[in-house]
Amino acid sequence: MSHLAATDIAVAAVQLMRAGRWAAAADLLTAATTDDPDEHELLALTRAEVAVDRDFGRTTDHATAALAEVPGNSWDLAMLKFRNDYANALFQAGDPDLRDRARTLVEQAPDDARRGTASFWAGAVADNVYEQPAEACAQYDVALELGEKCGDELLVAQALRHLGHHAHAAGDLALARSQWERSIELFQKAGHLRPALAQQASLAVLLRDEGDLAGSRALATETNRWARQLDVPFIAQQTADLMAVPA
Amino acid sequence: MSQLTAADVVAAAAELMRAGQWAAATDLLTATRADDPGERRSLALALAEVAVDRDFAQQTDHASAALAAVDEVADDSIAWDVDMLKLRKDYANALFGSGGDADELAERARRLIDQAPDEGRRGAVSFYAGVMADNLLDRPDEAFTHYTTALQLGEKTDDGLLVSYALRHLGDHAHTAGDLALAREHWELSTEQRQRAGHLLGALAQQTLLAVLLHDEGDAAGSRSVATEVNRWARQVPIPGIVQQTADLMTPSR
Repeated sequence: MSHLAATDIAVAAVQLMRAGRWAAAADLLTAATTDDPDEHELLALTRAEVAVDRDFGRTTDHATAALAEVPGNSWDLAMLKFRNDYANALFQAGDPDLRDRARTLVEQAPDDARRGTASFWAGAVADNVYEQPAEACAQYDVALELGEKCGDELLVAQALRHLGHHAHAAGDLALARSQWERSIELFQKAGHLRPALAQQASLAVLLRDEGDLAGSRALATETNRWARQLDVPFIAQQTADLMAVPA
Repeated sequence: MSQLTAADVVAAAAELMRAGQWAAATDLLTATRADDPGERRSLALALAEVAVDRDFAQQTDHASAALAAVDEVADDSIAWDVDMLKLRKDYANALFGSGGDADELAERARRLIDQAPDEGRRGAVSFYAGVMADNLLDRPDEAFTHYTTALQLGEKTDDGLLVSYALRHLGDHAHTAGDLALAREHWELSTEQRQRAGHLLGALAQQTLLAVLLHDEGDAAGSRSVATEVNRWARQVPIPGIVQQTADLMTPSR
């Protein structure tokens, strides 16, 4: 047997999750046993985080069981349950009541970094479930500011991805490009594969709108290839559409 | 403290290494304490593999210390694996221009082929014998034979990454011979195997070749857009060799 702190296991598992190696992350967490209640809670919470992330945009359900096994009533657990319910509302159908829960998570966030995270998800819900773009942008701005303040580059990347969508929708291609390029670089630097591919798909859209149809098609073809191997259907679908744009 | 087997830790570290997360892989292995000498050996061997892999990608030298550390705990059970890691490290040094006797390296590869304890390992070292024949000794026919052996053994042992390595280099030979269709077939399959295995550097290296191929197929704009995004990604990791190769492809005059 080997011994190490649960925090070291959790850090490695989160990094594996970001790299899209969800099964390896779950295997590592499942292999670890501990008598310490705090370590047990951390391992269970991280297992749930991996499961929620793994299910995102897929028809799998690893999250329900993993969330049920997390002890206690922490803010972090409430945030994970919220993210899981948001993903279900976005990709399948679902009950919401998500707006009040988002507001509560923002209000009860124990620190600025977590308030920034909750603000980002509140923005995503306002955008994609309730179709309130102005409110969404206000939340993304808060998330961006808190991400910068706390040095949370992934939060910055997520906020910029979504702010870039609004710039793009408003026809400001130059602003969209600057926000999306910074976003993708932060995702790549953090080793976060799925959003890096999602951003690459956005850049392929942008190339098309900038008039570089051949460039858009070639990039979409390679993003599509990778998304199929990683098995992320929504990115594979979006890029397949771009590959079909006539020259 | 939490408990798990060294094998579980080593498996996770190998995945992190393939994802280009060498520091995270090293941190995980370094944080682990093992009671058992066999487990300590596994952890030291894994640390050396992560270091060798990282040095190849980033042209650093983490491996010398890690290989010295594994020498202190090594026994017969890992002797072949340690020799293989040393061969990979010395090959990288020779490739990046800091010397080494190419004939001596090829002789070591030949010995490891003869002594390989199983077909998976024989396939892996056959691949290295191939790149040495190609890149250090300028013997393309011999290289081709080694790659073909590596491909067969990779398929037989269901080792997707070994298959991807062999196909990358067989595709190079097809490309050099002007057979763009065969090169595309080999290179696309190689790219996909690497993406499925979570091998980030390998996937980006293959995308670089696909950008070269787009250029040769006459799609200059497509080549440029793929090269631009591979370059961006390689700068963030960073992987200097890929940054350099893609920068050349991004130049509009091509």
